[in-house]
Amino acid sequence: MVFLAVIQTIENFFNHMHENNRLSQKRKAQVVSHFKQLLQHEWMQLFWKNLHTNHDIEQDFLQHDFNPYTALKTEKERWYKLFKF
Amino acid sequence: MNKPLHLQYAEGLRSGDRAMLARAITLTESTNLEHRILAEKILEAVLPFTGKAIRLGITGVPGVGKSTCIEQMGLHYIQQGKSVAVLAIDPTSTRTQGSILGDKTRMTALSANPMAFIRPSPSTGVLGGIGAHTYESMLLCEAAGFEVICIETVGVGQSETDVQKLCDVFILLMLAGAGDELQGMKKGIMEWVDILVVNKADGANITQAETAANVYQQSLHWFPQNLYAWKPRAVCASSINPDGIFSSNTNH
Ligand SMILES: Nc1nc2c(ncn2[C@@H]2O[C@H](COP(=O)(O)OP(=O)(O)OP(=O)(O)O)[C@@H](O)[C@H]2O)c(=O)[nH]1
Ligand SMILES: [Mg+2]
Repeated sequence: MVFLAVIQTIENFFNHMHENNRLSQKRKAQVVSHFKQLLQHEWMQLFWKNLHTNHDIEQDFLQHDFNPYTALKTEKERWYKLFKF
Repeated sequence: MNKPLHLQYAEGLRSGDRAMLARAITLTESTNLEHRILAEKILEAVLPFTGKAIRLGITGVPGVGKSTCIEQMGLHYIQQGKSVAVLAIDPTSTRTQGSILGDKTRMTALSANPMAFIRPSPSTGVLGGIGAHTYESMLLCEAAGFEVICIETVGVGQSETDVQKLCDVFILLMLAGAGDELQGMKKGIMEWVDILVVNKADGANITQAETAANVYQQSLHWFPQNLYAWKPRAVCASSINPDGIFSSNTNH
């Protein structure tokens, strides 16, 4: 019933990723890329272009050395303000 | 007087109310601006409770056995006392209805289990593509206390590149002997693979599957090591073999 090999490999994977904070680094990078994707929304892109012509979101984002979830929240708050939500 | 709506949602889903969770996910998928705003507020309210699950991305061509595999893995994790959420992403909205029903019926044991939550999700017609709303759906599931999140996608389009940005581990299911199965897959997909599973390794397929796993393991060596120093593994699996999975190819 159980996929020993697959399950075992998944477990090995997570053991590996928990060393040296790899998992949180990976997730942090994913949050960045998530935001880049959000920025690709047409309407967002439009607003972004008008409001922040030379703004490098990724740099800005990576500068906080942060918990991605707090950063997500902060970043969203900023966006709400920008977009007058 | 009444609590703001987003807090009602947040509390509801935190307390394990599945209907609330399902509705919150629908809000994240909506293109209606008011829904989006509500969804954002709910997300903000629940963000502190997210991030605690393991996130599994499972990809492969149609029929390779993703849903069956997820069901078996899900049941395994449930046996270990963990709750499991499945987000099944459909490649096209036109296929959505039929396929959703198909997946639901296939994961019968899992969908009947109170520790599981299965949610089919559209991949088109959504702002920002699947990456945007699946990420949010995943966060909602985590806030609702799910400890294992499985994201199922068909390995042929944009959705995989998106999915590998959401999940911790990217699992690609293949079949032995299909020869050029990779040709139907998105180019470059092998570079994302963390675990390659040669599926349906049962019956007359066993030897062939083991050989294939060996070949894949060799070829995975040629890919540059990924950022996180994980060496991708190729293993065999079967969802129908009652003895479970026999030996794997993990001597690397
Ligand atoms: N022999 C064998 N058959 C399997 C195995 N896993 C799944 N199948 C069969 O393969 C067919 C497809 O399985 P699914 O799990 O629905 O495949 P899928 O990849 O989710 O398919 P889509 O969602 O349509 O992309 C079903 O008829 C399963 O019974 C396996 O390990 N061995
Ligand atoms: Mg399926």
